Formats: sequence, structure tokens, C-alpha cells
Amino acid sequence: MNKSPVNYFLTAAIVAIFWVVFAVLMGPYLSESPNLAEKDPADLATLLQIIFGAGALITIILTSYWYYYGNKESTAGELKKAKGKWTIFFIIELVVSVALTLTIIMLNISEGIEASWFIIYFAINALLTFVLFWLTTFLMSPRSVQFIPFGK
Amino acid sequence: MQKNVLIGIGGTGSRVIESVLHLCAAGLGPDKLHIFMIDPDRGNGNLTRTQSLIKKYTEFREKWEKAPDRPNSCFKTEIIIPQGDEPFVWNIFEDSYYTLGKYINYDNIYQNNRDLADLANVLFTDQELKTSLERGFRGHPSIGAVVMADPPMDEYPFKLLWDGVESLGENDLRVYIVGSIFGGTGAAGFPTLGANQLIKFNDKAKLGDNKSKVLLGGALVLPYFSFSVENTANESMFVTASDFPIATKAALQYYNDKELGFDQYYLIGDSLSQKVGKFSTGASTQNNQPHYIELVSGLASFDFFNQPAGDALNERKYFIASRDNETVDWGTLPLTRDSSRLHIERKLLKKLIADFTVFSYTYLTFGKSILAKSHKEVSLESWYSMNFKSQYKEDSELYNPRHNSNSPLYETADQYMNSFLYWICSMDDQDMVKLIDKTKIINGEIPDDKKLKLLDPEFYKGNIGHIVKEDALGSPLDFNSFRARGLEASTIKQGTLTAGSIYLNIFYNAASEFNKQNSFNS
Repeated sequence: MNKSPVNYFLTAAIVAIFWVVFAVLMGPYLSESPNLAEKDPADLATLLQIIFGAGALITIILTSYWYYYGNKESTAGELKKAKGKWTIFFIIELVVSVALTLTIIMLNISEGIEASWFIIYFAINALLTFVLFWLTTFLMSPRSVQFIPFGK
Repeated sequence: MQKNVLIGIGGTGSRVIESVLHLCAAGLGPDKLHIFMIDPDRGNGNLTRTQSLIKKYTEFREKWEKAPDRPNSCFKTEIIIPQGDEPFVWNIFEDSYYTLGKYINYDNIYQNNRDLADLANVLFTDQELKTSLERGFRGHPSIGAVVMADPPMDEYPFKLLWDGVESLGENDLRVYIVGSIFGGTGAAGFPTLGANQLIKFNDKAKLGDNKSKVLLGGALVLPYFSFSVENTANESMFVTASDFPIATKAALQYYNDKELGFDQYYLIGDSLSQKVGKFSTGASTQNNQPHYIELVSGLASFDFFNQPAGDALNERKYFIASRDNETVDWGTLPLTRDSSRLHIERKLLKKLIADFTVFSYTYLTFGKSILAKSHKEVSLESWYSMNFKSQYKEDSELYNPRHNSNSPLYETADQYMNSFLYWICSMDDQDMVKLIDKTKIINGEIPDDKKLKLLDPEFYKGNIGHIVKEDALGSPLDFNSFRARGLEASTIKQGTLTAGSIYLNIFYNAASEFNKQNSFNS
């Protein structure tokens, strides 16, 4: 599972599945259930698809770079630097999830959506960004860097 | 069943044994090898070094458990020497201060039998009669021939030859004697031990009809080194390298005329005359650097031991091997009389020596640096965590490579590997002997105290791929590749092995894997 290109494809597939589940299959529920003052639920659904998609795409990009970087032989000799890099990526993912959630809030601030829905959107953003980044790198990091993700 | 016995005579003999031991450590050599030595110079530096090496070899072999799932042939040879307090070396004299005069009881002869004393005076100079022999025969084999004429064959170390001889058949007891032809002890001992009745047709070995249980082989090492002569003050009887050719010529003439018990001879020499140290008449100061001719002499012993039992031993054959130019490399070392196997055996020799060299170098540097850190500090190293993280128990020698019980193994490994690197690096001659490149392993020249200053492979990352000179010709790999392709590909199943043994197995396996890929790149 940590061999290239299997880990690239699996990661892309897992992230894509999660995006499809939350942005496409659950899209109507996530956009129709909250109380909206003026916005059409279809517009909110499209916005959520884009926001969730952006998070998923960033995760795929960062994870793929991590795999590429972890596969380089020179990385085996600079594990502390690699640990620093992984931590930075993780923090970027965390920041991205917060930023994307803030974007949803800002774009819908006048709609009167209940706070609990923004928490749900943040949870989905978190899942599609730093949680999936952690999970996929935990399971599929190249051999040299496999013990770098938290908890391994 | 076959029994192999290697007898080293004098300084050259002990240095050849040193080479044999290192070759066995690397994984060459027979399954069992009996070894003993002959040297009157009790304190000879070469002899002391070899004796200490045998101890290190045996200890390391006992303590290092091999991984069943990743077997290697390191230390496969069981080295057998006389047990307990029995002597490993025949020192010839009972005490250290002996002269030829004292040995033949010259003063007594002079008093009681003047004719016999005159004969002694004809055969030996006054200086030869009175010079102390505690440092050997000082290049005068005529003295050695007298005092070595009647070795105690029923006592150890000679008894080692005859242990279990009853069960052996014709030519099953393979005895290989090695010594220099141009010095003192070797030149004297070689024909003495080669005398028909002493070993070849000893009563214990005779089978009748001119047949014997013993197949006797001898390596006559011809002049191959020189040494700088700086201080000969206070020395009245000694040889220098300029005496070697004439001594050799005389000895060869003698062997040509004399019917000895040897079935096979190896004549090994070299005209490069590399310097191996400073002038010394003997004792601890005679501690010469290893030389590739000793490696060749050791390889010749393996050819002797490995020859097929049913070979046409009565048919006289000559095998000649030489270098084509002034360079000695992996492709010029003579290894076997079987030309169909030469290519395979050369590849195997290069592989095993290269593997053990990289194993020793990486363990002594990177391996020890990892052990010096805590378990937590190194847990990012995936090769380490793959082997030690999941079952780690601080207080178990099976799961904690830093457990105190593993320390004796590391100490032994440390000592043996340093000796090995000293040996292999000493043979390197930048211009003429191109086997292992010492400049990629050590910092500067080899110091007199033999404590090598090893280069840090994490700092000199590119060096490791250049250690084997032939492999440095292509696009050699670096130390990052050693970690990624070697260490990380070396997961050892725990089983019942101690964590210390696992740790060493990881490094050997990594060295082997790295060399395979590095060699492929060249």
C-alpha cells in the first residue's frame, strides 16, 4: 500500500469517494436542511461542492507531494527535516479547513444559518483536509517516512 | 570426512593466518579449520595480533546469532585450536632466553668432546652460537633447522593434527603449511615439517603402499615486501630486504634437490616490494602491515582444502597465475585450480569481502551512533522502527537492542570489525593494489596504534559507493541509498534472536543489498 504509484491512486480514490459522499450524495441534505433567508438551496449546494472540492484537491496535492518527497532517497538521510515538512503540511491542512469554513460562513452570513450547521461544514472540511491527510499518510507513506505521521 | 589443518610458521605464517581468519569471517573458507602456529619469538607483534584475532573471531562467532530468514555465510568456518591451557603456538624453547649454543649444550660439548665442538664451529659462527633466539632465527634458517628438527608430535599443538585421525581415509587429513622462504623461522620450519616421516608418513598417518591419510600442501611465500631500515644499532645479527633474493635462491635450490613429503606446493611472491613497516629483529616491534600476498596465500589454502577428494593426485600438474601489469585488482587474484569456476569464485570473493567491509564500516559508524541515542530519539528511522518498535520492551534483551546483555556482543563486534577494517585498509595501495579504497573509509593514513579514524558516512555521503574500487567506475550510490535500499529493506524476523544479533543482521543484510545494487550500477 505504500508503494508508488499505488499510494497515489488509492489516496486520490479515497479523497474522491469522501468528496462524492459529502458534496454530491449528501449535498441536497446539507443545503436544504438549514434555514436560508434568500439563497436558493441549489446555490448553497454548488458552493459546498466547490468548497469541499477545494479542500479535497489541496489534500490530494499535499499528500502526493509528501509521497514524492518520501520516495526520494535523500529524504532517508534527513528525517527531522521530513518530520518538520509533514507537520507544516498538516498545519496547512488545518488552516485550509478553517479558512474554507470561514469562506462558507462569510458567503452566507446574511442567510441566518444555525451555528450547528457551520460546525457540520467544518467537520466535513476537517475530514476532507487534515484528517484525510493524516489518515492517508499514516497508512500509505513511503517506507523511509512511514513513522513520521503522528501516532505511528 | 575431511579434516583441514593450517600451520603457520613465523611472522609470515601468522600474517597469512590473519588473512585466512578475515576471509573466513567474510564467509569464505571450509566449514571447519584447525589452526596452530610455530614461532620462537613469543612476543612477536604479528603473532600476538593473530592470537588475539583468533580469540576475537571465536567470540564473535559464538555471540552473533544469524537470522534464519536471512542467512549469511559470515563466520561459517569453525576455527579449532588446542583447548584450554594447551598451547596454540609451538615456541620451540622452554624459556625465553635461549641461544643455539645453549640448545646444543655447546659448553659441555667443548669440555668433553672437542671434535664435536669443532664441527659446531665449522657449521655455525660464534655469533650464531651466542645470539639470543628469543626473537627468532633472524634470517638464519640453519639455526632453526637444528632446533626444530624434532618437534613434540605427541603434544599440543602438534597433537591437534592427530586428534580423530583414526577415522580418516587416504588424503582426508589435509595439512597446509605456510611460511616465508626468505626469512628465518619459516625457511627453517618448512622443510623440517615437510620431512617425509614427520607428518606425511608419520606412523599415525601411514596406510601402507606409500599411501597416507595426509595430503600435505605447502605455501612457500617468496619475497613480497620491503621495510625501511633506519636503526640497526645494538643489533649484530639480522636480515634486511636486500638479503631476501639470495636467501630465496638458496632455499629454492634446496627444495628442488631435496625429496620432501609435500604433495603440492604453492609458490607465491610479488615484485612490487611494498613497504610493510619499519625494520625490526622481532618481538612486539615486529608488527608489519597486512599485504595482499597474505590474502593470496590464504586463498591458496582454500584451493588446497577444497580440491576434490578423488583428484588425480599422482599426476604432476603446474598451475600458474600472475598479474598482467603492475595493478592488482579483483580480476587478477588467483583463487582456484579449476578454471571453469574462476569467474564465479572471483565474483563471490569480491562480493563477500565488499559486504563485510561495508557491514563493518557502517556498523562502526552509523550503527553505533544510533545505539548511542535513545529508543525514542531514533524512532523516526523506519528501518529501526520496523524491527524494534512494535515489540519494544525496555528490560528485555530480545526486544531492546540497548539492553545491557547485548553489550558483550557489540564489544566483540566492535573489536573484530576494527581488526577487519585495519586488515583490508592496510592492503590498499592507491596505485597498485586496487581492491578496497581505504580513503573512502578512514581519515588519513593508518596510525601506528591501529586505531582507525573512520569517516562519518552521514557527512561523507558519497564515499560508501566508492569503497569497492571497481564499483566506483559507474554511478555509485550514496549513503542515503544505503539507508533506503539497504537498511529499510532489512526486516529481520525476531524468533529467538536477541535484539543485538538482529541489529547486526540488519546491517549485514543492508551492506549486502547495497553492494548488490551498487555493483549493478557500475
